[in-house]
Amino acid sequence: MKRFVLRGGSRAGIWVLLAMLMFWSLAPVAVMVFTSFKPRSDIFAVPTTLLPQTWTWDNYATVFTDSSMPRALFNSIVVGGLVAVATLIFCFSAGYALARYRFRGSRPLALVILLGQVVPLTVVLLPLYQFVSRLQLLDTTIGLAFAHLAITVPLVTWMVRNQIAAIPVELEEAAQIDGGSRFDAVTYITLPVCAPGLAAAGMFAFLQSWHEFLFASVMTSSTEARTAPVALTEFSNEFNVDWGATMAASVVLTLPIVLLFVLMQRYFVGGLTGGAVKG
Amino acid sequence: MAVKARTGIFLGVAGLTVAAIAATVVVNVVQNSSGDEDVVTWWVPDWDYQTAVDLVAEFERQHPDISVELVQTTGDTVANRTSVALDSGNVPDVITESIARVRGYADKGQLADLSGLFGEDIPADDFAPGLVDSLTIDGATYAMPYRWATNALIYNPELFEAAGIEEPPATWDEFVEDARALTSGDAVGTAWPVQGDPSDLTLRFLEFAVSGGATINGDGIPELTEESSRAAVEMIGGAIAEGWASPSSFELDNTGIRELFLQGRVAMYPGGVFDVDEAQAQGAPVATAPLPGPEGPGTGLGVGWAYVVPEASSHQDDAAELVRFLARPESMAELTLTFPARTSASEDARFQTPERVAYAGQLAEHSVPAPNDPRWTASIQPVHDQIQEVALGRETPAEAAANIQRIVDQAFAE
Repeated sequence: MKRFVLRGGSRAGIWVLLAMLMFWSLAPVAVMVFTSFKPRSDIFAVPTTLLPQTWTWDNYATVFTDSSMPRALFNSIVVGGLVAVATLIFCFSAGYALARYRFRGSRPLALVILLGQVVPLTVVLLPLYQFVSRLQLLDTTIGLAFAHLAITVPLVTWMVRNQIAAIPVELEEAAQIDGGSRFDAVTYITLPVCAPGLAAAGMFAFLQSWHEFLFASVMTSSTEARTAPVALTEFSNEFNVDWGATMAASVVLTLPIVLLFVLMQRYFVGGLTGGAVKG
Repeated sequence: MAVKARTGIFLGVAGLTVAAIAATVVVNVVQNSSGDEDVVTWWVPDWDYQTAVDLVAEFERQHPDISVELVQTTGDTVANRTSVALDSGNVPDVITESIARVRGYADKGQLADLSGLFGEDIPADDFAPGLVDSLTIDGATYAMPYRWATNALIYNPELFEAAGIEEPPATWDEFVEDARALTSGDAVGTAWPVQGDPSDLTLRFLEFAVSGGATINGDGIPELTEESSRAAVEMIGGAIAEGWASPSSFELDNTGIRELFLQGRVAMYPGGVFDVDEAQAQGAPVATAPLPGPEGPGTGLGVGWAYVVPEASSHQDDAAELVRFLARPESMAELTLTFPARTSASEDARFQTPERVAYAGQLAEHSVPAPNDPRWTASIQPVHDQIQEVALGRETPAEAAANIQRIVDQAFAE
C-alpha cells in the first residue's frame, strides 16, 4: 500500500512538473496569440487581461494589407526552400564521404566542420557579407540562402554522417555484389533507409533559415529580398511600436512552422535520434 | 554499364539543382555587375522613404546627370547594416544614420569629411546649438544633421486641474510635489521607461544629471559627478520606489508610457513631440512645458539623425551634392517629424504650433547634444541596471551613483 502511494505520489509530481514546464513554454505564446486579437486600447488596459475585451482582426489586416509581410513570407519560403535543398545535397555528399571513406585526416576534417557550429554568428558575419557582396548577391534571396548555409551545413553534415554510419555497410556491399554500382547502392539502399533522417535534416535547415534575423537584417534591404523576421521590425518605428500588428505578424510567422512540425514530427524526432546509438 | 532508373533520377535531380543554383548565381552576378556606374545609392529608413522618393525626383530633375537609388532600412536594422557595410568597404554613397553613432564610425576613419558643404548656403550657426560641433572631430565634420529633437514636459491639464495645480512644475521640488499630489486612484504622477531600449531610461537619467551639474564635453563624453548622478537616480529610481512614479515602469517602454498617458493614468512625463501629436490625434487632453530643473528650466538632451557619406564611397562628389540638396531648409522640413536641425527650417508653420513652443524653447535655449562617444554607449546597460536596482529598493541612490561613477570611469579609462 505504501509503495502504491509512493508511486502515485511520484507520478503526480511528474505531472505537476510537466504542467509547470508546459505553462512556462506556452504562456508567452498565449500572450502573443491573444494580443494579436486586441485593439490598441485593450493592449495597454489596466488591469491587464489575457483575453481581449473586444476581439478584432484589424492587426491582421494591417499585417496583410499595410506592410511588406506577405512578400516577406514568400521570400522566407523561397530562402528556406533553397537552404533546405542545398543543405541536403551538400551535406548528404559530405556526410556519406565522412561515414564511408577512410582517408588521412578524415576525423580532423569532420571536427573542423563541426567547429563551424560553435563559432558565434557575429564572428562570421563580416566575412560572409564580403563573400556575398563579391558575388554581387547582396539584397537577393539566393545571396541570403548562401549565408544561411554557413549555419546549417556543419550540424547537418554531422547529422547525416551519423545516420549513414548507423546503416551497415554490408547492405551496400550486397547491392554491389548483385551487380549494382556504388551510386545504385546509395540510391536503392542508403537513401531509402535514411530518408526520415534526411527529412529531419531538411526541416532543421528550413527552420534555421526561417527564423534567422542577423544575416537577413544585414544582407537584405529591399522588399524583394527582405525575409519575414526582418519585416517584423517594420511595425516598430522611431517613436512607436505597434504591438498589435507585431503580435499578429509573429503569429503569421509562427503558424506555418508549427503546422509543418506537427505534420512531420514523427520524422523529425526519429531523424534527430537516428544513428545516435549503434548496435 | 547501364545506369539504373532511380540512380539516374537521383543524379539528374542533384545535377539539375546544382546547375540551377549556379545559373542563378551567374545571372545575378551579370545583372548586378552591369549596373549604372553613375548611380548614387542612399540608404534611407522606412519612415522617411515616401518623402525621400519625392525629394529624389526633384533632385534628379535639378541634376539630370546624377541618378539616385533608394534602399530602405528599418530603425532596428540600420545600425548593424551600416556597421557591417562600413567595416567591409562595400558601402552605399549616402546613409541616414543616428547622430549618436556617427562618432564611432568617424573614429575608425570610415566617414568622409563634409566640412566643405558648410558655408554661405549652409551656415553652421544655422544649426541647433552645439550640434555641428558635436559632429566635428579635429576640424572635420563627418555628418550633415537634418532632424533634431529633445524632450519637454508633457502633462494632462485636466488631471492637474482636478488636483488643484494651476501651473506645470518649473523646478524639481515642484515636480516631486505635483507628482505626489497627482498620484491618486488610477493615476500616478509620472512613469519611467525601465523596460524597452535601455538608452531610453539613461537619456532621462542624463537629462536630470546634466540639469544637476554634470556636463557633456566637446568630445561627446559625459562628465558625471556622484552628486549629479545621485540626484538623477533619486528622481527616477527613488520615485518608483516611493510610488509617485508608476510601479508599472518596470514593464513600460516609451510607447507604453504614452498609452497610459492617453488613458489618463500618467499625469506627466518628459517625452518627445511625436507623443504630443499622437495625443492630439487621439483627442486626449495634453499640454507642454519646459523640463523642470533644480531651480529653473532643466536641460534636455538633443538626439537626431544625419546624413553621412562613407569614406569608401565611389561617388563622393555626387553624394555630397545630394547631401547639399537634402540640407536645404525646405528638404529638412519635409523629412522631419520632430524638428529640423536648421533653425531657418523651423519657420515652417508645422513647427510653430502652441504645443511645440516648449520644445522650440527647450531646443534653442536649454538643450545639449546627447553624448555620442562609443564608450558611453557601451556603459548604457550597466548604468540602466543601477537605476533599476534603486527602483527595486535594493540600492540607495548614493550607492547607485557611486557605482555609476565607477562604471563610467572604468569605461573611459580603457
